[in-house]
Amino acid sequence: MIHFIDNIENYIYLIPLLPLIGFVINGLIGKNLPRGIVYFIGCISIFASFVLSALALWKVIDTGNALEIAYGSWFHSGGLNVSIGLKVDQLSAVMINIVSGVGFLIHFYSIGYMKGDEGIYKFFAYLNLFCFAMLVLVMGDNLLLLFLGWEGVGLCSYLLIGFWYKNKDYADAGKKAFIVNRIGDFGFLIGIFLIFQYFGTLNIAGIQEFLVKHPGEVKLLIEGGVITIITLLLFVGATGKSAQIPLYVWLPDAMAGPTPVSALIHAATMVTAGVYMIGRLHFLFSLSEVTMLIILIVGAVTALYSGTIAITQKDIKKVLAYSTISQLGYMFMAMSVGAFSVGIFHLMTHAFFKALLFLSAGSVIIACHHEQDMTKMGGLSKRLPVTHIAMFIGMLALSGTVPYISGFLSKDLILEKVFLFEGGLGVLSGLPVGKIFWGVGLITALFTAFYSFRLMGMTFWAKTRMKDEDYHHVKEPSKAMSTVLILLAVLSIVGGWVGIPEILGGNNPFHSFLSKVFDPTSAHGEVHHGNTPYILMGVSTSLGIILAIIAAFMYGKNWSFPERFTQKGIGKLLHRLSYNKYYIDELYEVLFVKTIMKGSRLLWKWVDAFIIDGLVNGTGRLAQLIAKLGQNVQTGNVNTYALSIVLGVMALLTWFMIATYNN
Amino acid sequence: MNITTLNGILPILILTGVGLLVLLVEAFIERDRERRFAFILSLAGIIATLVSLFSQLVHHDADLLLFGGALIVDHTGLAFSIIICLGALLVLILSHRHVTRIHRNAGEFYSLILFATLGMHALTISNDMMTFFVSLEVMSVAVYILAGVNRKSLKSNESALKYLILGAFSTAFLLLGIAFVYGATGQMGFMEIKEALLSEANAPFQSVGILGLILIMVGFIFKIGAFPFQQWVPDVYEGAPSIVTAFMATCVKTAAFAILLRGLFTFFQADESGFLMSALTVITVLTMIFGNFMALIQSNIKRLIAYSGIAHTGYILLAILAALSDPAKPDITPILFYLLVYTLMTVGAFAVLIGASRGGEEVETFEDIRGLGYKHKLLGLFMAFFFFSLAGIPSTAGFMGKFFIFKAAISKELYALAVIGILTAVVSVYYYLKIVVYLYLKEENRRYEKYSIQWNYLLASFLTFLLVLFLGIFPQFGFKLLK
Amino acid sequence: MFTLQNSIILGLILFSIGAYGVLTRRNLLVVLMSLEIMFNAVNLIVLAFNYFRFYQQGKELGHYFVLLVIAVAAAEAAVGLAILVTIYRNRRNVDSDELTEMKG
Repeated sequence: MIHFIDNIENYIYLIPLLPLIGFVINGLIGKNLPRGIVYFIGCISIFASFVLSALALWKVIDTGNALEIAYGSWFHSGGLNVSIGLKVDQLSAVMINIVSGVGFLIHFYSIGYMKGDEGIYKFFAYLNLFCFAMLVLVMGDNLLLLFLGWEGVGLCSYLLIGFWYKNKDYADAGKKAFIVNRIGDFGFLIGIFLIFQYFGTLNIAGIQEFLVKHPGEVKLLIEGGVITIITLLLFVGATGKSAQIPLYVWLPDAMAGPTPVSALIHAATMVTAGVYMIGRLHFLFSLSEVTMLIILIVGAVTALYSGTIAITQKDIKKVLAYSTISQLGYMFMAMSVGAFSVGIFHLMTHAFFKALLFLSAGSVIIACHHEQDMTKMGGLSKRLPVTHIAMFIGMLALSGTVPYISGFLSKDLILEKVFLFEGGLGVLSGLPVGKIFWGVGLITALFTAFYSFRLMGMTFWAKTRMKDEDYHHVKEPSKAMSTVLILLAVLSIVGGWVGIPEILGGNNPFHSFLSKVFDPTSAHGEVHHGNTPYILMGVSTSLGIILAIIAAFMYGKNWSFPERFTQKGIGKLLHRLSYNKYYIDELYEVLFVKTIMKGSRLLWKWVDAFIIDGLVNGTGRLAQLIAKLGQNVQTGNVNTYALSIVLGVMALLTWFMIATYNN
Repeated sequence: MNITTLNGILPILILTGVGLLVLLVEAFIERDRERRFAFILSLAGIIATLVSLFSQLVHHDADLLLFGGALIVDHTGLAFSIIICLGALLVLILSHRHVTRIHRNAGEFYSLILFATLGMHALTISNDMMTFFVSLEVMSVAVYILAGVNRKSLKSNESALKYLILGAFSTAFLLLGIAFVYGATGQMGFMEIKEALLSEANAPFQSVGILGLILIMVGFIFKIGAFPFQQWVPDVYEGAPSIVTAFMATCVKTAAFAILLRGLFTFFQADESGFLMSALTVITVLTMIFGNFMALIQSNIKRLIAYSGIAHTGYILLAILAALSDPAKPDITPILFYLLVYTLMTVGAFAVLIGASRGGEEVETFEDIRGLGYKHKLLGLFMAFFFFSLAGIPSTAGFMGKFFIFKAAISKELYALAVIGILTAVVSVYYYLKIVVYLYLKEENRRYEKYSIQWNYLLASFLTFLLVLFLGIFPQFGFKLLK
Repeated sequence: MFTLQNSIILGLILFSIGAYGVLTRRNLLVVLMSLEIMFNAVNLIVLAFNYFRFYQQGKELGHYFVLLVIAVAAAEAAVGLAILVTIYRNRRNVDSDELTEMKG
């Protein structure tokens, strides 16, 4: 046993393998197994994965080195020699623990949430498959494996979003997710091709090596804009996966899936794949200022933009969805200013509190018999105490209003790093870029605080709008679910403590841990900047608290202000815009979807039916004609066959004679 | 007779011994026990042979010449023999319960398969006109009998007769060729013949010798079923019992290719006019086209597989042409790989066909398989998979095989051939997929009752399924083995 | 008169006669006999070569070969006849034109 632990590096392949096995078992024979076994297999596989991940993390902390297994060559064709292997370095170690840990909690939660659903074996199978794909994504040592996991999670999200496929809207949401993702993946793939073309390898360490060994070439590439193009393409993929402008549209619709799915895929893991990818390839992104700037802009705008939508949404899950998009924007902002470990830190804390929020919402939804409209809720704090407190803690973390809570720490670090950023090209040079985007981040934080507590107010604190009998039927749905909520709540509070920065009294072990990956030259990460951090923190926190309190009262006490404000004039306009998500979906529909449909119908009528069908049918008929001719050859008569042999021989001999006589 | 020689001919000895034993078993033991006993014996025999072959492959690095050059035990020959024995093994497993339906004495059937395999193995390692001729005939006669082993079926009779007559006819030409070659060189060994043909002293008889070689080629082309000597293939394949067809389509073809390869590479340099290359090219193209196009309009699945087999022969010929472009160091891995994959796929496809036929009725036409995929999900799945592989759908072994062949062709600049090959392969997708579609067509044929599939079918099918899947994903393993 | 050339020609004539028989005759028994004629024609040719060219040098490979061919031809003929008998039992005739169950 000790030997096993000591040599954990040899067994890291089990980490993705176990969920895969779970998928196979539940997928193939789950239908015939008793429920308990299905639950057990689904949960134990990911739990075992988690245990292994934890051990791996321990080992990495201990030795300070990465754990690697190289499997050697997979295939080679042409000049491409693809070797695969798994690598767990500090970054991956953090990721696999998040994925398997939170993943396990969600599996466990699903036991309660999906009770009674007939497709339950499929659900657990897909969940396991998703974890497998995500683990492969973060453990792969080359881009091909990463892409494999990338596609895999995309597929799983499609399967799981549209899980209740019998409802057309839900199935459509799944389709939308997949298609929008595909567009992003297309860009990603081209990026990968270009990497191979210019660096000759897809192995991540290999790419890093290349950059070190050929500085001259690399300089040329930078100046030629190649690196920018590559990183931009990769980022396009990230916008698809991580729901940034312009490819975020699938995420709100994806709320159609069961809530545990939303928690796992859209809060804790899949959407963070884009952020991870930038972290993994940070050395490449750092080479292109242009791309980094674009990422900053996109991240900031997305964060603000989705924040403004979240404040008017009625569906509890949609609020959380837009909130996720917004928080992802923060993560990208962090990555774009080079604060990679900060971005990953926020990724981790966000995993905790977002999962907590989604699962709590799930609890609320089930308790209210699948009601998701907040305007029909209210007063649930008395009926759902555990859920209430859990969600409250989650909101505190999200809005970052309480010091030392996880969300606070990570968000504040991001704001600080952005503030200190000194960059800017072209039209932006000369402007205090860092400060401007800090401002954007701040305003977003205010919106965040606002919609967080608006949700709390409408759902828990206001006087209930439910009918009396319904209200008294509301109760905590299941012990399994509540347990998970409690665990996640605790994590949301203490999970950030590994990253307490020096200015607040900690020594930020998280950052030092990850610095091995991100910046081997700086062991101590942070430089004091005098009082600036404290001021920034103070400003954002106090403003956030103010807005939170306002929202709490506005919606908790059911003030009429919101309604009056949005009845007429500018209030009405803003509300309209926000509520309808700025009509972007409709815009996309007209611009892209309708055009494509029209175009394809045209193609169908003319090109396809007329030309291609004609050609294809014609060829088919031609083939048949030839064959019919051939049939006359096969008479069935032995003598005939013998004759053809003789004829064949004659032909060969004659040909031979001619050939030799010509020499 | 030292130990090395003994080791070298061990497979031959095993196969002969076990074959004879099985015949004796059949003579002396009563019916029911006989069948099982004979089966186990034959199984043991083939497995022992495989073991011996593998051990020789692993242990010997140098080529082993035996009996004064009559036999040559080299890696190529062993590789071909392994493929053949594998096919024979699968066919044996498949035939277990099924045999008594087509022939009263199972022992005779098994011993025939063993003797046929014997002939095939000897064929792959023969290095001399005489050994080659005898091995060829041992194999062929055994297979002629096997084709007609179902004495009650008219089709089976007809198939056997046609095969025999046409086979003997082409053998006669082959013999004529041997006669001329012998007359021209005075040698019987392959190596010696090559030298004699190339040497100056032999000039007056040079053309006679080449003539002889061409006639010998005719014999080969007949046996592999390529244009223009492929007429027997559809009738013989359709008429013979399905198991035998599986055996013929895979093992006989592989053995024929083995000796074709050896012959070609030994004699190729003797041909200065480039005639051989051009003739082969034309034959390849016509074979691919003929096989694929004729398969399009077939309604009998066995016949369809026969024609598609002709097409596959064409692809393998293409691989041979590619290898020939570099006679000094020919790369025959695509050939071996494709033969291996082809053997597995075809046996698999037949395994499913046989497994689906119950109650005495053989499954042969499209109507027969209609809706099969619904009644028996596993069978349908396997069948679809094997036909996908035959069609060359990516991520199956069949695709890999075709991929390597086309890649080799392109790397040797045989562009036109590769294009034709790819186009005809596309045509083939149609008729293969047609089968799969019929599997899942809604109206079920009433003849299917739910029955439990017998283990041997399942085993055979599953084994081949796994292997096909595996090879599709990791072709390199196959390559390492076959190097 | 008795030269290599003439012997070969004789052999080839015999061969053609046999081939003609296989191509033309409807009665399968005759076809089998024609096949035998072809085999023996080849034997003749081999022996001719052997005698005229190599016998002085002490090589009789041709002889061995002929023996093998005779044996094999006999085996093949036996099998052929067995199949023929089975066909006759089932159909009451051995006409190759009747034997066209499978075509196309």
